[in-house]
Amino acid sequence: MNTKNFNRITLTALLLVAVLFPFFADFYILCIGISVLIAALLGQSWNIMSGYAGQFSFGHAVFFGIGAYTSTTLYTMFGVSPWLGMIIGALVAALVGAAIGFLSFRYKLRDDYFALATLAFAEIFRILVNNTSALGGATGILIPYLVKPSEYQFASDKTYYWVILALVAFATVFIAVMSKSKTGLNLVAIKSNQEAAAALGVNVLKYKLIAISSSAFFAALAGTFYAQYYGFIDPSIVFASSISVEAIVPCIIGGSGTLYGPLLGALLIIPLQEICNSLFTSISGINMIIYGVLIVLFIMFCPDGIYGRMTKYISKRKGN
Amino acid sequence: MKKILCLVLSLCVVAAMVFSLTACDTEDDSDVIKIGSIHPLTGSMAYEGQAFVNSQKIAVDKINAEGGINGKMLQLKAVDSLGTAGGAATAAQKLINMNVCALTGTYTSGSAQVVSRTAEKFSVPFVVTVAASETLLTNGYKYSFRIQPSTVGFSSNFIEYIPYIKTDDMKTVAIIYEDSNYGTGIAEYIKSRIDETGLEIIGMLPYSAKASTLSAEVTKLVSLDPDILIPVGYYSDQNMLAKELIDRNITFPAIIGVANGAFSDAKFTNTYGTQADGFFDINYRYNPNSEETEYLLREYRERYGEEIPVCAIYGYESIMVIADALKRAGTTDHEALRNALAETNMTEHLLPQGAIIFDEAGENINSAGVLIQIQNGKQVIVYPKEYAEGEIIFEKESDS
Amino acid sequence: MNMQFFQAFLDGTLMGGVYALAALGLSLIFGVMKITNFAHGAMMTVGMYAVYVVSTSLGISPYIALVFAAITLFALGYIIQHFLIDKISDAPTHNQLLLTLGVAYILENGLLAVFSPNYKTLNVDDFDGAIQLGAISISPEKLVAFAVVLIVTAVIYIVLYKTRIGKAIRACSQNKEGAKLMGIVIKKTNAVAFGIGALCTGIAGALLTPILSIYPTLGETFQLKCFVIAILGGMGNLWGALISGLIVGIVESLTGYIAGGSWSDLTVYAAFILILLVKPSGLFGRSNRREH
Repeated sequence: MNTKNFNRITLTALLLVAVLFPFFADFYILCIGISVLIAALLGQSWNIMSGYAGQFSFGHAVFFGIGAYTSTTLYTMFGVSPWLGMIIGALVAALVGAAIGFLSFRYKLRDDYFALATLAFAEIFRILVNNTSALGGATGILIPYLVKPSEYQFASDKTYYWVILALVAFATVFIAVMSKSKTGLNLVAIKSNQEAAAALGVNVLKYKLIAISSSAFFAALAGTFYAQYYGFIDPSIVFASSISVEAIVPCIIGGSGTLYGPLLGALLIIPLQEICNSLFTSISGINMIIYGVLIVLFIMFCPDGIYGRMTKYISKRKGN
Repeated sequence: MKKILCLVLSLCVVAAMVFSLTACDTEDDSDVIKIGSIHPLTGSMAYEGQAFVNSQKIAVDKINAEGGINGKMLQLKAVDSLGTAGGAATAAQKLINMNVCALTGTYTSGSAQVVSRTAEKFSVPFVVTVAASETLLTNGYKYSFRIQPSTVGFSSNFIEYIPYIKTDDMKTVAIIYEDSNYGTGIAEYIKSRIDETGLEIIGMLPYSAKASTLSAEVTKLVSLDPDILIPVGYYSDQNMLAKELIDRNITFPAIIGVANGAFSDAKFTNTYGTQADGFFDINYRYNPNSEETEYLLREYRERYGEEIPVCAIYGYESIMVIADALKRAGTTDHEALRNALAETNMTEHLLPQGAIIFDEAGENINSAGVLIQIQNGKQVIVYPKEYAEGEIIFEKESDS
Repeated sequence: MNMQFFQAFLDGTLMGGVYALAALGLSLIFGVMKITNFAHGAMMTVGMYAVYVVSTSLGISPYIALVFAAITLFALGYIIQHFLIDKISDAPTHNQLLLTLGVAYILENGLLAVFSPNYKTLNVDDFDGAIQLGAISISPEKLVAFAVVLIVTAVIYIVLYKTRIGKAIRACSQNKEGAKLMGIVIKKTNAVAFGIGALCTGIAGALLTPILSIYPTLGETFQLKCFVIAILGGMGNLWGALISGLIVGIVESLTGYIAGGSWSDLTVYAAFILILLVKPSGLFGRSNRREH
């Protein structure tokens, strides 16, 4: 059996496990599964822009929030099905992403400065929505409770699980295809040395914009899902910096710039956080201390992420 | 191939973790009745969140000391909502998985919205400890109940009580409010009904509860010079506001907080003593004539070494309401408990209101805030009459 | 210009001074280590609690307790740099950032676990209300804070420009390789620089303790503001940070006065983005060239 076949078979098996997972899990584990997949989708979205293209965002909440708000306002005010709203929201987010990207990249913002600019954009959107009563303002928007699959509401969490799983699979396939394409190669070139890439004739601005737009697109998909799954959004929930952090952590813990890294990171960090919450209840605060310590340990001992660490380990053993 | 191996390996680790999660809390517990509590125990709302859990523990212990519910002991299961909507939803499902008979929570409105929907999905009763959002029970949920007044409730109380405070020369109002759900909700509602009071709003000043200073807003208030100032906000920001007013010796004919996180808190009067005399607040409070009140205040002080924050009395009361329903239902079955809750008619309680009765939507129809005034460095209920501990003191008159 | 407007301007200036000191620490850390420190706000809160604990347990003025806060924070900063950040100095930016975020979680929740989340208010007997100058009133706490900020900034300036370790820090911030060749021990220099940065934010926190009621996550509210100020001032530029701090304080206060505090942050962030776009190196980004 050659490697390619082995890969294919294992991947199929894993996918099968993921798809059949709801039949083996009780509803609590299933709900953690959904949280994992939301984090994975956000992580993959961050991965495109920051992992592959090297444009470090600290404000992914802005795209997440735009997705959530577009689909939800379209639904509650104009009766547009959130399925359609999800796509419109993602496109709006992609446009906003392109606008933010155009402004930032055109004026040569890089690294930390760019990261902080995205953070400021997220805060600006939060404050604006918070003070816009047409969008529900600070009160937020409550989504009517109807079980209607045509309106993105399901009776069972199993269906929600499969929806978000499909979205994650979509994002992963997108990255897989993109990273092999010319676009992907150019992005990696830009990440490693922007000036050199430009000298070789790569249109740096164009590819950066592609990266930020597609990244925003997927973050917005996660936003709409979040709104539909939890049934309520307000600016302090969907434009929160905790959402931006949730996009970064799985990707870095898992391995940024790798195809499976964010998936692994989300699979690890969300259950870990849940375990911390369950085990350390005697003094509150301990759960978050342990979580913080875990993050520090991961960064110290797995700087390339778990995925990077393991591939390194295995190739070393093979080398011996 | 190695990449795939990595994937498989890590999946194994995760599978082990998931098992460890399910292994938690599987002790045999057929002879206890569990009640779930979802509050922010970490993060910026942790103070209030922990106070809710503390007061709930007092209620549970009291019931157990009196023999429990039909011979079974109550057990409180508190989970950290992390202050986020997603965290609260996960916490709710975790508790439901532990077989709690009912959920309580959540202090922040966003979390309450999410938990009430989860409760509905799983048909588990949910009693709100505190969450003021007016839209919370507007979705037709069958399983959610709220004891405390909503933002609309507090604002209506303001409209109702203002004639007792207002003198004829008071014409203008300025509202300074924190700009999230709760502050905005109250400010907007008061604005919409201000005509009924014969007053006129000359300033609406929203600020962020995370502001590090309110000097500029206070200066604005000085230039507006309203007859009545209505401050709405949480403890730390309203404390900052009060300090600014007191230090700069700025006074208005009346300062009337609505659901003000600081003015009703014992720490506030401990800090400012008589300097804050004359401040009003329309807020939730305990019934000073109830023996249960005395018990709760004393017990809280003894156990936790501090005064109970007023919001936390709803933590205690939520457990009492559930216990009352459990006794009548005679079972922990969710459907039966929900029906028993819907039929609640509780006259023995420590709130300054009539019987606790829930309407169709799950709102407590008699819920009400009271009017307190700070007098001689103490909060004193001055209205309604049946709960009053003293009369309103009109400072202006006594000064002149 | 009416008096109230001037009052708002004055309050903004005094508060801006405190922001400036906190941001100065951040700026110094970035200038030397090229690290975006997301634990900066949490370190500020540690400073507040240090003052609170020392001041209430020894019964001394918070302005004396401030010295303890400064020492604690210097040690904390030194330790964080020496044992954590230094080990990953070659890692990509986002790793370092996430590391500091993890540290922030640990610090904040450590305070929560130790001190409970209850709001702590320090009663200062040193002052009796605001100082009234005609229609203008000045908060003595803020006035003292502003004075201390100026003193601390001057001291730090002297340390950086007149002492051996200060010169080493500046050398590291300008050219790490060159500094190494000159025989400067990078590891120690970095740790001292981080310590001084932490000390600045600790003192800023200490100065705010008499004004605010403190709780474990309070520092978060200053985090983004510090970034904005440090970047506007040009990362690593002390005087830039000081002036930008004042600007941010004034903009915030005037927006609060004119439109309401809800819009203050918006104005600050919008101005931040605009300035970044027009002048990515910050308002005073280039000015440190002259100081070579």
